[in-house]
Amino acid sequence: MTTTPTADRSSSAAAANTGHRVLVLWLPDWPVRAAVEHHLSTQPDEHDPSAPTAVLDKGSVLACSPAARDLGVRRGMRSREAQSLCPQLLTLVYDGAVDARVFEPVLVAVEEISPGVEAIRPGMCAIAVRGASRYFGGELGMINALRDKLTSLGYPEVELGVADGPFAASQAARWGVVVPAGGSSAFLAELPVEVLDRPDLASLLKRMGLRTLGEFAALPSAQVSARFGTDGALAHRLAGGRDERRLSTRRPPEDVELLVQLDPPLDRVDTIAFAVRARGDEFISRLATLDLVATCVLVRVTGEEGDVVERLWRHPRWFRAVDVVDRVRWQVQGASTAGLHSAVALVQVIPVDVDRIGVHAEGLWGEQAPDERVHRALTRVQSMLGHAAVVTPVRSGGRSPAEHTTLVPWGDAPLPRRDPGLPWPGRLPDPAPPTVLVQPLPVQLLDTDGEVVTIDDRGAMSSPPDRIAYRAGTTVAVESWAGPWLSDERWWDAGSARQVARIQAAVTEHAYLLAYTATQWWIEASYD
Amino acid sequence: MTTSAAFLDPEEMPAPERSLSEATRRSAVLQGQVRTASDTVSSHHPTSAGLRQLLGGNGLKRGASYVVDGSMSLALALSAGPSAAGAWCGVVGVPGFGSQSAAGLGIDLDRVALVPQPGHQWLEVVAALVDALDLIVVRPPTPPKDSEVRRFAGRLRQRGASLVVVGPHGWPGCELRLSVSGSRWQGMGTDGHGHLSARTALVSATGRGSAGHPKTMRMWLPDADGRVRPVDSEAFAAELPNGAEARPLLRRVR
Repeated sequence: MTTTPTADRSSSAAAANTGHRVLVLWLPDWPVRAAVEHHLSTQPDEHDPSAPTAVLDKGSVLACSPAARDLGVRRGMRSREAQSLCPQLLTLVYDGAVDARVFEPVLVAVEEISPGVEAIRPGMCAIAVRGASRYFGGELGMINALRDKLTSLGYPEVELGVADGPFAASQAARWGVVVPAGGSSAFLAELPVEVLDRPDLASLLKRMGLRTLGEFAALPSAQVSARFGTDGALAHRLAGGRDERRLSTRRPPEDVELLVQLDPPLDRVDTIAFAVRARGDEFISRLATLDLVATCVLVRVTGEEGDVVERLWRHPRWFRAVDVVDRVRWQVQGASTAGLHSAVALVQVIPVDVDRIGVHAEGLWGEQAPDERVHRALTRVQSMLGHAAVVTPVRSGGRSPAEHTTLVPWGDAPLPRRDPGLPWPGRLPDPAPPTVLVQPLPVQLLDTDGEVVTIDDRGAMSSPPDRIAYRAGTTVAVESWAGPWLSDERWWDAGSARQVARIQAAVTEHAYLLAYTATQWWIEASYD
Repeated sequence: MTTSAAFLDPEEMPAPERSLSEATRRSAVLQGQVRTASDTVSSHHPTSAGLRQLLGGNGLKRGASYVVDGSMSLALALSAGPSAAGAWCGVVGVPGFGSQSAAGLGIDLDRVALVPQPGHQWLEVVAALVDALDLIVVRPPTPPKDSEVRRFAGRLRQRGASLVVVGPHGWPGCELRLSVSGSRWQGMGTDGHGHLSARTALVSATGRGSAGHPKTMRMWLPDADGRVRPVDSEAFAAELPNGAEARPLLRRVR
């Protein structure tokens, strides 16, 4: 048998994409389906399923039934216009919560067929094909199984498509086709740029004369990235069928949990840990057979008197069996202080967040995944003092030294509270004070006459500061000072708005950052 | 034993003695390996160039404790060297940790873990951190007990971490005690102009590790570029025309 170079290339592309095949399930006109079902549940036998129906959001048509579409109703139309085309139109108000709630049973049904389902939006979900398709004898077998399941639930209109990557698969679902492995870019090339679901980009591309995804994908990626930014570069990758994103699975399958019943109940940490260790491997390997790893587990320890201590444990990579045993041990050790009064009768470990094996190879912190030893030591301290007792500082935006940092408990995703990249007018120049008082110290700043120094809205000081008077009655002379720096903090929110003026002042041996707000001076930080 | 001289050649030794000497030889080889392994790990944590003179030419000694009295800036600056070299730093019992300042002094905030309120278990917390972190800054909330510290010091030496102790309580058996006094602040005027830009202070080093060191030196804590370094006395004098140290050369005009 001879193979042509073309065949060779496509087979290697298929090999590269193994495990990246995605099936997308799409229920057309979902907002209408959901709204009608909700409507029927409140007012039964008042609706004819074939009647033209439209769902309105803010006075315009968000979605309409096929019958309404046949009469000329379109998405985005004003409600009055739609009703003039179709006087008998039943209009329902859009409710996002209803949309998602009605979709829930569908997701559960799909999860019965294959675990690891990502809900893209209500009415559409993605499923990784790999393991399940083998079970059903190929992708078509899996499609048939899903179609049968949904028809039995009363959704015969379901559309299913398979392709490489979630984006191509969602387009395939709209056409109801199976795109062969490696054929995604050819399949996408003919589609209009609107399917990227980025109206601004699509309009711009059309004005540039690029009407199809193929034409857009043909642009050099460096130039796309320079001209359209990160999101444009992502759209460019999608258009070229280079959708590397893995599915983020919705939630773990419910029957995978570690349940250790201790009979008789145990009160020694090491014996409890021993009992859990025997089952920990089994728990992790059961997840692994589903191609999943746990990144966050809930450990629930129940005492024989029914008292419960539970805590979420996150892992910067994923839990191995020894990690699970450690978490249980630490929690039991900490439980005696956290309110567990009786011997332990039941230990449950429930996976809360799971991910595909391989996605987490680099960890939440990317390349710099913290050393395992550091993680163990910090988690150890957390088990002694509580989850929030160990924090990492994350640079954040803000004007006062205290606002500069967001403290994030160890194990949580490090997200700054305020964007540090923005300009923060009124911020003090470097160097920053090394000690920031947790509770600012109330003092008064006095001038030579012993009057309190005040600062008006425009930053004018009543008189130069001469000394700092502490509450205890002692005073220290101000040797040199600088400022004031004014900041109107959160003026848009009457509740937390305050105007703050800050000065730096040096006294003998010390220098302080003082803040003035509403006739009161505070020592905010110390340059020690 | 009368035979030991006669059986110098191991082949001629009776079997039990030969195996004994074999064991001794092996353990000697192992000890050699152990020593070489620990020698490859440097005996000091790196520090920034400006602090080396203060610490006697080297960085922070592994397994040693340092007391810094009266300056958080100096304690943070000591941690900056190891942090820049990739070490993890733990900060225990310092709720007012100024992370902006720490970042300015060269500490990588990505590798900092804070335990602001360790409570009465603070020494256990520090001991747990010593197992994995290279440098720990601690402000003991209560005076440490000598016996506890002795037990802890063994662990610290074994793990090769360094401890920087701040706060009023001190630390028994510390390698070096650095006290900061005579701070002079620069950049601010007596009329509100300028801003705090630099500071000099006298740092004196005492303790068992201070032999052969300059006992007291004037240092920038930090200088206008945010570095901590000894004050070059001539350059320092040149920067202070007419002794008006608080007056910047350029003044903000508004």
